[in-house]
Amino acid sequence: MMPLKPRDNALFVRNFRDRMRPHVIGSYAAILFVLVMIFLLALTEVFADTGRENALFPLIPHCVPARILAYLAVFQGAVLLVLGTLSAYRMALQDRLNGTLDFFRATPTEGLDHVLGLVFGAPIMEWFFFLLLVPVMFVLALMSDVKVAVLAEFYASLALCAVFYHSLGILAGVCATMKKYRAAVNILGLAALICAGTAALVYIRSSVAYHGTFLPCYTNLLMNILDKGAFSRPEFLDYSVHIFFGKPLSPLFFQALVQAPLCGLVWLATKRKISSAETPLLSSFQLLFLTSLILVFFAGDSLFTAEFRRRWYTPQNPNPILLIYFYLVFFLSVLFSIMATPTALGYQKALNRAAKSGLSGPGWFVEQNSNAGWTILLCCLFAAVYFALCAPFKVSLYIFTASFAVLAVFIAFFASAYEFFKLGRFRGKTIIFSTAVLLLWIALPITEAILTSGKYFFFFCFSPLTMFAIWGGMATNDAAVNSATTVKQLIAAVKSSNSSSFSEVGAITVITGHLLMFAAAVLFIFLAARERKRIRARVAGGRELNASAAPARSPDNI
Amino acid sequence: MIEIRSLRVDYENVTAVSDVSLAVEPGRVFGLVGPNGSGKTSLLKAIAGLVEPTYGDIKICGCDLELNPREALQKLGFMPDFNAVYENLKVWEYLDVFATAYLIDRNKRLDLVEKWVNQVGLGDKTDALIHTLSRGMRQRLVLARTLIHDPEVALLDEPASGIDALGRIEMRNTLKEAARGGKAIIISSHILSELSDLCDSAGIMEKGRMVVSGDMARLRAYTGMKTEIVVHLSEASDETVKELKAVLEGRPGIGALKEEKTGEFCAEFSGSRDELPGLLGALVKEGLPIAQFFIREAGLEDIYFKAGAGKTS
Repeated sequence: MMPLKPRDNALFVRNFRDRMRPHVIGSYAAILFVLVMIFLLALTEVFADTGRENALFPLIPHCVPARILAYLAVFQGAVLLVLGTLSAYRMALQDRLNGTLDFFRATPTEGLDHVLGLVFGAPIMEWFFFLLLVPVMFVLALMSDVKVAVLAEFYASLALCAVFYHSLGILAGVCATMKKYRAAVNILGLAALICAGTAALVYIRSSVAYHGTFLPCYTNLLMNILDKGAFSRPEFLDYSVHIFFGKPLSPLFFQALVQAPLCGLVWLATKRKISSAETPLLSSFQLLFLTSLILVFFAGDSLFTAEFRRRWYTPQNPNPILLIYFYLVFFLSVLFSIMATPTALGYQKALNRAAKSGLSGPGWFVEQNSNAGWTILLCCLFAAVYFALCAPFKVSLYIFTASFAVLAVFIAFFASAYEFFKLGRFRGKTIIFSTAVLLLWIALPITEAILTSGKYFFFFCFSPLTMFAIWGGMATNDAAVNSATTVKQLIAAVKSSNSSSFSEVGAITVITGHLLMFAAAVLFIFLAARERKRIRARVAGGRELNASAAPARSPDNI
Repeated sequence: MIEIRSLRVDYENVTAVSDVSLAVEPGRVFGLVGPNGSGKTSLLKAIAGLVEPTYGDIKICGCDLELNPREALQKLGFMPDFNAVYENLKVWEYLDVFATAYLIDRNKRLDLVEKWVNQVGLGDKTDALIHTLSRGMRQRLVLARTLIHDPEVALLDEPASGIDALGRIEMRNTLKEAARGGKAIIISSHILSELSDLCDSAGIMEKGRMVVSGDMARLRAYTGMKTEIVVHLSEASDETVKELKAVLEGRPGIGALKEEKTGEFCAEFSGSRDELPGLLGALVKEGLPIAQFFIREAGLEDIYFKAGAGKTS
């Protein structure tokens, strides 16, 4: 393992030698020194102006070392998190595009050693410069009465975050299979998307999203420093953002809880991508773990978000947690299907691997096998978490069962149809499938609503986007529906439901639509099974041919 | 040794290698010939564990590549058809990195690096940065990287491309020595004359299939071309021709002497190559003015065209 023996880790050694040449380090150190000096001189000038009135941060002379410490901490973070991640990405991308990574794949070194060598080796120079400033920071901490423990916690937090970000950079680099500029554009787009999504979640006070970023590193340190001046802590920060499942956690522990398992998954994905460029990012098992992790985060976080919203913003506003849950799990199941469903060739290889190991076929949860087993397992997991989430909202068992059945039908439909199209022989299958899905889920409901001026909603029943809104909304908000204790009461409550649901679309239409969706799901389950059977027959034929082939021989077939 | 049985490699919509079986014994060099897209590189990649075969078994020194990849890869060296190197590393550093990747003990690495740097003729470039090396030098460096962990099996994909004449000779000698040391080598190349000199056996691939394969003697026989001795006299008087006939004709394994053009004579030869030095010695002893003396036989090019691979390339 690399952390124990860095000198025996080939990729660490390669990156270390490449990036830590004395002349390169010397040049960068000189640039860094000049930058820091300019930075400090500029700050001194600003601090000299202590008599300014209405300054944003009124200055108190004895706080100057603390301020310098704060700014240098930001500077260190920029070097380690931003430049380090970029370097990690650049080095991994370089190895992937020029083919040197293939050399390592053909060596007996463990895949995880490759990953660790890249994660800790590629940004080695940034780590070096980061560490260079650490003693200075501790001196400043002593001068400014900032507790050493606070600074130590800041560094632990920053280091954890850096490893996570660097791992993401490495993964992005090894996933690149195209031209450099395309890879750069794609990765920038992806990074922008992740940043925007995280920022939005942080904005709505998602504690998990907050602990997935670098923010926890700085909050405690900067609050400690600012408290020493005239700047007081904002009220919302006094209300701890470190609550998970309603319990306050230590910020560092919470950060580790969020980032460490994600980092582990990123390492696994990187390992898989290094071992083969064609392999999906995560195996089905790993995807299931990721899904469970996201669900746990969602459950723990949503309780906090609810509490936060109740306390700070809109106490009367009902929470759309169940509705969001529907969309989240459906998104996860679509993602799961796309990543875990094998191609015909992948399935063929899985069958052969099983045969080689003396098995009659690949197990349900083996990689590149049919996604049927995984879909069932995933639905069970979704149901369990949904059940737990329904409890605080007092959702009736009827609505729980019905709404989950609708969700399960949509998941089964997508998974089986996707598998059927992916295993199928016909050309243009991806286009056919994606066009059909887009039509059914988005284009037809919208067109129908526009053309009929909102009088008919038949196609709404084929779209998970609209159906989840109806069922999720009803489960969360409709007290009358949820308080029904008999089917008769339920039907009556549904008929008079006012949660933009059945009364508008019409119960008959909804039921007919769902039955049709159910029939479509069953049809595609059958068709996918037929495709698998066809491939199994072909593989069995090929294996018979192999078994009858001559044994390996010295080349001679004239 | 390498054992491949009924190997098939598929990509989406393309079958790159179809039903290839072969075995290469230790100390033997197997040449892989074929037009672009015939499946040579896919075959080598599958043996190197870079591509998962659809069917078939690959065993490296008895280890199944799929079941024991680490053990199998430890015994294998693979040189791909592109010389990707780390531009900012020095020659010794590059080799040291890969010695590390092949799990070689830290104390032995530098000695090995020194040995291989000299072996491939880069002794004076040990401390040079790789970006200062020529293409041929890089190719030799990659060859050293392939063999640094002393693999029992070496796979070389187009190893001679971009190398000058001297470099090729050095590379050929290195590979011959490696084969003498007991390594099983599979080498793919477009430079057929190179392979003719180096290989004990060869195979011609076409559209993913092994069209013809066998040891070189059998492949030569397959072309129908006969092996001949060619003697070129600088002075071809009646007397010298008579003397030449007297020495050659009647010897076992040598057919009738024919004059191809003035001063150039050939005779069918079915004997062993070991007899040739003695034969040349006898001619010289007779005082014949020998300008050239060589064997003319079917090369890989002839076999290649005979197999029809050239027509479809």
